[in-house]
Amino acid sequence: MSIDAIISNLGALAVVKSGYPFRGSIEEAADADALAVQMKDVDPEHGVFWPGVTRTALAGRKQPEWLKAGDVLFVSKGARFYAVCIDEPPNQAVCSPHFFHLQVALQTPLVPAFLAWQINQPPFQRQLQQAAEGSSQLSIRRPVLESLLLSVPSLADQQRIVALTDLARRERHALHQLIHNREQQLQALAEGLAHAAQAAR
Amino acid sequence: MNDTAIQTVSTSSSTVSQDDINAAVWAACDTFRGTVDPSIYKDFVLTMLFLKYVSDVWQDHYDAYKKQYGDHPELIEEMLKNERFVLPASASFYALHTLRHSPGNGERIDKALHAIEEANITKLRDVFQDISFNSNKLGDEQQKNDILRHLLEDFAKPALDLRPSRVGQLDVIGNAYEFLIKNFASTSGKKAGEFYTPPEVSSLMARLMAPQEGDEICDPTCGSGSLLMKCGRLIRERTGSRKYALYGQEAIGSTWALAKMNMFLHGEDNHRIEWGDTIRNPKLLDSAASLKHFDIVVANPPFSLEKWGFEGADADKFSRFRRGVPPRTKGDYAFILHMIETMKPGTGRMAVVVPHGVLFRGAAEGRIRQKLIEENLLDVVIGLPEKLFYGTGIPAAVLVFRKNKADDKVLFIDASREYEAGKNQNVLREVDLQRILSTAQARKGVEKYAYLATPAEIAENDFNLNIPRYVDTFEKEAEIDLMAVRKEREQLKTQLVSLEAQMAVYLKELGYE
Repeated sequence: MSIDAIISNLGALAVVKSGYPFRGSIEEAADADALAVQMKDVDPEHGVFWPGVTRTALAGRKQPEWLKAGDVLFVSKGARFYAVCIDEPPNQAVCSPHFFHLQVALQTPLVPAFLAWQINQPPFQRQLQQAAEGSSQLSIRRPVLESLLLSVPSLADQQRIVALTDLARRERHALHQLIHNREQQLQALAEGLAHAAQAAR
Repeated sequence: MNDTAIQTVSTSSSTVSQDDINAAVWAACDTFRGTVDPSIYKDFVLTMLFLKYVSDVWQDHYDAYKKQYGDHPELIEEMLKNERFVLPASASFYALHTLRHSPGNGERIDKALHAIEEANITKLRDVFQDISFNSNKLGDEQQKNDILRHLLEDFAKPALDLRPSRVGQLDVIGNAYEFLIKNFASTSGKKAGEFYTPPEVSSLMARLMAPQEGDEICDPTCGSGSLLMKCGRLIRERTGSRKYALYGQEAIGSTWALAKMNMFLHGEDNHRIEWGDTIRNPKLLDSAASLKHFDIVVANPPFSLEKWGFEGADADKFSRFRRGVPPRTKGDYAFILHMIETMKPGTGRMAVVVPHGVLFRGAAEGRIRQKLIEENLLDVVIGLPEKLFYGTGIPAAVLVFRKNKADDKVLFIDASREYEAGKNQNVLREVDLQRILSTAQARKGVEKYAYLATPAEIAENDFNLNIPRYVDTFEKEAEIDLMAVRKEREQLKTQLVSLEAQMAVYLKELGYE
């Protein structure tokens, strides 16, 4: 079986912007007005961990591209290329230049969370891996990302897939808890036996 | 702005900081990098630093005398004969630097070093014999000349102007020297590292030994001498006195030379550092040709040295191995026994860094350990964190022995879990050192940290000193509520069923059935 879908370049469906051009390391400033999302704040499973994001002063004259709910951050350098869809930032925020900042235009029939999900799937990862460049550290250039071929089904199907993804994440979590739960049972058993042995000494 | 920043700004034109010198010296190493192995070029760079320092001190004093007695050159010459080091004019760094563009740099530097050695023979005998700048290790004639020209130019930089009138206190140079030795140890690993003891560990050992004015201090495997100098510095800091003597022995010729230069650069002129193998050929003897005794003996001997001198141990003329001969392939107890034999009766105390195996290995080592404990010599056992040493990740321990112990017990301290984690190496912080020292001083048990064991308890453990046998650091897990666990299990299973059902709906809608 197959799902009806339109094939399109990523560049035709979303605007790809660079991260904020920080010079050097990002300095923490407690009373500054902006948050700077870095690689350490992001993971593919949970997205951006906002409480850990560094607060900093933006020095450049360039008008910052503020992040907003529904934007997608794409990790373009390093061992893994992946995308996360962000929720509403607690404060005005930018991302570091390690990311591309993807924005889906208003009328485009593309669900951002679906976009992030699709980028992370093996067939699309394969495309990215083949196009990655660099000698010491691999990276994806903007035109490469823009030319990534997406397969976009109807909005309803996209929403179903996003919902499935979320359910699968919760299933994974429950299964991990189940494994941990069994380990605790066995540990309690072992401790009961050790206790009996000590009492007999 | 903080105090130090203000200070640097106001004095930057006349004085120089430790970091500036360190950076300049480290940059000089770049001349060699890629062409010559660090284990080889470290000798060249360190020797050049020594030559530059001696030349700058000389020049500084010469200038001062000239200002004072300008029109009496013979008087100046007489005055300069009383310098710490006598410097023949042709042997100065500046003379070598001036001629740097003409061929023969290697030979010229060697000759200069030889001349300096001759002019200061009592202090510098044999120090430069293992260091030849005219060596093929630097490549063919052309390349060698080129490298040495660069080296001379690096050291002629204004940042490395080491005149006392500019540098101020003497130790800036000694510290730069130590900075280099330390960096060579960490970058080139064991081969060039000569088992350099990290500064916190030597500081811990020095403070454990509480050196006093008048003490004679010995390190029988002294390497570049940093551990000895930590002890000396502690006496100066605490009493202001320079009344103490440092003794050392080092087997590797070039490292022995470094130790000598290091001592002079730190102003520790009252030292006796011998060259030779401590086990096979101990050189620190008294007038009766028996082993000299010291108030303090400290060492970080090579871990489990394989060829330590087993062959001659049975017939050792100092009968250092009467408690037993260590195993053929592990020299740890050979060094410990040597150190035990060189403690003075009464005041004698020692601290030695050992790998953990020393605490529990059986056979010959077990028997030696038992004797040392039965003679009531072992005072404290301190377990250190792993990854503290350059070139090895294994955890080490410090053993403290004493001739006159306060009691017949052994204090165990498990300091292995308190440190600052580093990328390649862990570091003991001042708080960690303080905790070890105050615990050792209080000599009392501390929950999950220290335990004062009686001889009976140690005997009960078959004289095994493995620290976990005495210090219980096991964190008790929270008791598990089996009922709650079972209840959670049921909830999770229900949740999974529900998730499965929800997913089935979506999958069906997407056409998967």
